[in-house]
Amino acid sequence: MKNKILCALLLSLFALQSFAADDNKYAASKIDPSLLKDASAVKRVEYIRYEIKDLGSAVYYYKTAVTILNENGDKHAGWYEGYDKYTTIRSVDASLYDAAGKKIRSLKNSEISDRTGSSEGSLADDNRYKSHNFFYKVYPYTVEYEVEIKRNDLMFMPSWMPVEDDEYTVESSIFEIISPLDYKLRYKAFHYDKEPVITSTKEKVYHWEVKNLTSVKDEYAGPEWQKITPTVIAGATDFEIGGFKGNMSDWKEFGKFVYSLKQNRDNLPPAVKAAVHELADDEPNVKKKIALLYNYMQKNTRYISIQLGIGGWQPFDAAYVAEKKYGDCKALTNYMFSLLKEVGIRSVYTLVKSGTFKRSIVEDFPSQQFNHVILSVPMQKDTVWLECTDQTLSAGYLSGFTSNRFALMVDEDGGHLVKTPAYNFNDNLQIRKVTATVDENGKLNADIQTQYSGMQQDDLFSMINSYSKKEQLEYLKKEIDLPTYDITSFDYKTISSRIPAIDEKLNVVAEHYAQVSGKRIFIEPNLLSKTTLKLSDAERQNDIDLIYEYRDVDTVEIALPAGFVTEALPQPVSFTNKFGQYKINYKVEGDKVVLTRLFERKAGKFPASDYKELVKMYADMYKADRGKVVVVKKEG
Amino acid sequence: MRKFVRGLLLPSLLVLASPVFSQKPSVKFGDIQPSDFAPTAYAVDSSASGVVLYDVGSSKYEGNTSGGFSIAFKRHTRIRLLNRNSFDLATISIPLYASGAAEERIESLEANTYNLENGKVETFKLDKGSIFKDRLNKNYTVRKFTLPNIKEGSIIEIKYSFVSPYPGDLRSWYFQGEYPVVWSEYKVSIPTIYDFVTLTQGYTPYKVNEGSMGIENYNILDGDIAGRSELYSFRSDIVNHTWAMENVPALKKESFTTTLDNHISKISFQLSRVKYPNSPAKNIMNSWNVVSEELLKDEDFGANLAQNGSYWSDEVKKITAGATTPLESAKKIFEYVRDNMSCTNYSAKYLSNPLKKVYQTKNGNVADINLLLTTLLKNKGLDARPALLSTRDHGKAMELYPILEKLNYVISRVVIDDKSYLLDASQNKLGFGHLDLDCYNGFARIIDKDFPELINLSADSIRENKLTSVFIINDGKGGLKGSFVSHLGDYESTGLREKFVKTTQEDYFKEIKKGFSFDVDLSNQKVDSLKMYEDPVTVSYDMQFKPEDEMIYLNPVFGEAWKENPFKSAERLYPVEMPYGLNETFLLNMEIPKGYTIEELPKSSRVKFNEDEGMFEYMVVKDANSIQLRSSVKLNKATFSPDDYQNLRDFFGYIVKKHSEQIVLKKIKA
Repeated sequence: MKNKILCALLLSLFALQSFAADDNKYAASKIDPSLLKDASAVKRVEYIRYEIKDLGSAVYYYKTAVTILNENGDKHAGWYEGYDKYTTIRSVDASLYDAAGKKIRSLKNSEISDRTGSSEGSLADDNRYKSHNFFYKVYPYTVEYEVEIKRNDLMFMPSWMPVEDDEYTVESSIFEIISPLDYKLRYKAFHYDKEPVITSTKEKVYHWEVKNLTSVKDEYAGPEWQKITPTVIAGATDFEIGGFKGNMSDWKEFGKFVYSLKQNRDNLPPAVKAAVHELADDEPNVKKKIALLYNYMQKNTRYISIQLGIGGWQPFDAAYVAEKKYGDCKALTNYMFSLLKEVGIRSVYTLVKSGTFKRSIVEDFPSQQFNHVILSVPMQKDTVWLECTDQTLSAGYLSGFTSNRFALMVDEDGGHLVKTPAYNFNDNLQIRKVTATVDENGKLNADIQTQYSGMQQDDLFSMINSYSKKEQLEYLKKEIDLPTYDITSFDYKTISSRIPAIDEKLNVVAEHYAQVSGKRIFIEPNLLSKTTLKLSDAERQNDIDLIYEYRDVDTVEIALPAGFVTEALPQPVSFTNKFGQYKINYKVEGDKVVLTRLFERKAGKFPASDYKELVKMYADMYKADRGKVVVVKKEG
Repeated sequence: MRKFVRGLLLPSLLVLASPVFSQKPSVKFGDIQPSDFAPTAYAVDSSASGVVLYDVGSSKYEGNTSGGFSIAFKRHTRIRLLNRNSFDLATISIPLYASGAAEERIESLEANTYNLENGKVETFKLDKGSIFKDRLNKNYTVRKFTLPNIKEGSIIEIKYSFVSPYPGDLRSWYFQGEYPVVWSEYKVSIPTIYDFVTLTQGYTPYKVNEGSMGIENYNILDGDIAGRSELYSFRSDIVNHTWAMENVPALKKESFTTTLDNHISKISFQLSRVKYPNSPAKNIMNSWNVVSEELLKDEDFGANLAQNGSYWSDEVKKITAGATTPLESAKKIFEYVRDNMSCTNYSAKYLSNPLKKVYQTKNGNVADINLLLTTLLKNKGLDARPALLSTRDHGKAMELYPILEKLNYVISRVVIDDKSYLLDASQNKLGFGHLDLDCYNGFARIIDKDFPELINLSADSIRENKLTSVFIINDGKGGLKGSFVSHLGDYESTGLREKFVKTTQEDYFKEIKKGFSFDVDLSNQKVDSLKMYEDPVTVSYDMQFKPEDEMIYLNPVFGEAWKENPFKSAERLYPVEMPYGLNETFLLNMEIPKGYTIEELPKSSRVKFNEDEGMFEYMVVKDANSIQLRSSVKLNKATFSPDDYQNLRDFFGYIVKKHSEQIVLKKIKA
């Protein structure tokens, strides 16, 4: 053991030796010009070492120096590290260097702030963080942080991503994992075309290294960061946390571990059992049974997050939820699992990485990449998905928060990866019909009926479920993109179904919607469905990754005041391309101006060379959506 | 003897003592009847998802065992959760302050949920194990819990007490919050040893506002190092006062609000004097002269401002090298401090480090930076003084009372050749003599013992002046060419400077080009004074375009139009606080394109807002060859009462309408 420490020490001395010899090693003048291009921060040197001591502990050490070139780089000058029950920040050292590389300050421990990391939505957890910043602004300057952290679990290993942001370049970065000789480490590299250098003496050392990485761009609909810059992720085989043993060599094994934390926590009190049977026993249809019990769960619980110690991974017993009537995602999912089990329906606790418009996890690298739990109920033909932390959602609908990604189903046989349902452009709809009049003074009176469905209704759904009628009206008075307007009436009807929908009825009066100039009136018939996206036409570096697909269909009929005829109509625009299709048409029918519009956008991955077409598509739409009809009063 | 001095914050709430017949509800913890569940809505707000039925607190002084007074704070709250949207009311946080060994300590805490089940009230108690403690930072911990077993219709009740070892810090009371309140009451009883100034604000009248005198016995135990202790017992006159409000509506933040904390109904206290028995009275709150004198002696504020040592004079000499006039020197010093010191905290009135250290480490809070600035200016022999103010998000301070807690920001004033300049070197992009908008929150107080001058810094006193002119002529090749020049206002200039940290000028002008409704070529794009922070920015470019259509429809205000009404809400419950007044002028002088004739022109128009408070002018003139347009928007003040809201909304609605009108040109038939 002693030898091992010595060896690590020697190794780190070796790594740091080159620094010490050189008095002004961080002089900004020493940065290669190629690393100054499109950069506001340059990582000068970085050494990260993760040393596995045994199955339940590791020491994580890093020393990083970053030169900040300008105001935009300031965000990379500070230091921040979270910790919890399983993590101790053992030491932090830091120094500040001026442009010439002269050390001008060192960190004092009293300058480190130590705060709760508990978020507003959480009732109790043990997350805390320490942070520090030199707050300097004479550019360029360099900050150097050296940190040692003790971790009492192997569940999370650090990943290595030397290029941390856009406008960020790297002179040199080293990542090392040190493990006992017999420990089977797993790792996966992206954008790193070599194998790590592995040396085995008393222990095994895995070594990755990069030099002179130029900056990458964070672009609209860009790929995930690891697809465009060197990254290594590492994972355990055998591990321990809080006295629980596990293995994550494959999804099956990792699933067994998760299951071991949740099993036998499905005890329902007699009163709840009775209620469950009374509700569900007479219903022969299984899907309807599930919906009944889901509604029961929604009515009788609310989301409260309590995650202390192992409680971050282990759900509260169903009995706890039954008594308190609250729980976090694990507890509520486990509770729902227990309700279904009581009536003989098998369901599966399922881990997922949540987040709207997010792609899934690295599916071929089993590890703890999840932050949320949902319940899946496998049926003969399909699967019913239940989000148990939302007390209003339609049974079986997942919303953009967890749909269309890999998830890990966990039961007594272990884990296996499945894909949650994807909602496509036949599901994510916005169908709108506007019937309006414009009078001689330009006043618009519009009756707007819209049906939103699938992911197009997600935001509106949470708005109408969390706002009172009065607040909804306030919201509508602010959110509609019209110059000056009032809502004279509005109504929402939600339609529960596998793909839920909302019917919206609005009556809007906009005093000067159309512009009157003398005997002419200028009308923009496309009231509400205007694309607002203007893409930058800068040279594209990365592929395009469009995640969400949807369809908008609009019909607008505007009755003109008597005695007016059309003088100018916008040209129709229509195109179909790999991104979807768009059609807009303006015409006059009798005394009415009629607009029809269709926009269908597909999801998919496209090469960077397609970007110009995407820019043009949005630019054309931007213009066509704002076409103006000019009508003029008939003479005499 | 002065007991409670009422703060003159907002005249509308100067309601005198309430009528004698005021009825205080009598509510006992745990006493819930089935009938309490009957209402499905409450008169205070029939659409509310949750209602605070009863919220009663008290602060009472008591003798403690460490030789002084503590304050016992008690609170009892009853809440009705009508539907699920109010469930956040069931999660309670009680922040407690601690400094060293002295800490606010919870004495008791209980909470219940009541549900009506089959006509009977069922009670669910909060178990002690479900109360969580979190250490927020060095000085604050919080107790957090959520009530068990709540459902739509539940009543919840929370009762707690804690003891505070800080007798000068009497808790304030909020009668109003995010949910409507049926009854809110606060009672204080204070020995006459302590004199407080009472500050009240809000728009709901008091239902109860009663004071009375009494006598109380206090026992104070005082221990010494040797472990002996002595018990003092004495009687003191006390002042009791109770304030209560009934049916207080919920208050939500609307646009153009400095901070909701300026408008919410609350009462707060400032210690003004302490008089212990058998000792002379000690004024805590003094005149501004005395406060200034003390601040200037304070190590953490002004004690070293006038330090003359060679250290500073050497530095000042270096910084001001080449300056020939006092004004030039002042500017050099200001720019040096601004460009080298980075600000770590924009809310501070005391030094966090000695000035020399601030100077060497090149960072500090806003007090560090501007006191350093003042020191350097003084060392140059200039007449510089610090000034204190409260920023907009920190809330209104009172001009009358020297209450330092209400002030959170330090600036510097220098007088050169009888001209006075207000300086703030803490912000990156502020020029000499400019202050950030956030400083325009009423006033600043010069810290000077002989003449602690009040400086008006109201938002009403500043204008955003902008002048844009566009000239367009025929280019002789069948097209049109023109120039665009816009002198931005100070605040739009700052905004643009911030924008250019992230955006390139190239992208900025590309955006402008995209904003035209027709194809146009831009050339000679320029942004002037971008780095000269004292001056406003000027944006200019030339343009060229070729009209071809039979009809040309042209908005003569181009991209400078007010496109939407900033006042969206249909009603307003409290004053509109805009950041500044407005003075915007747009001028167009355009030759009629060759081959075209004017078909239609927008009509000239002029409207006033509230007599002389604002004006909108839109004047169009044409002659044989050209069109001239002048559009100006003026608002002579920035703060408007809720009564003015509808007018203000209509005024901007009208501007938006006129600014969307078009010129129509028609091709002459050959």
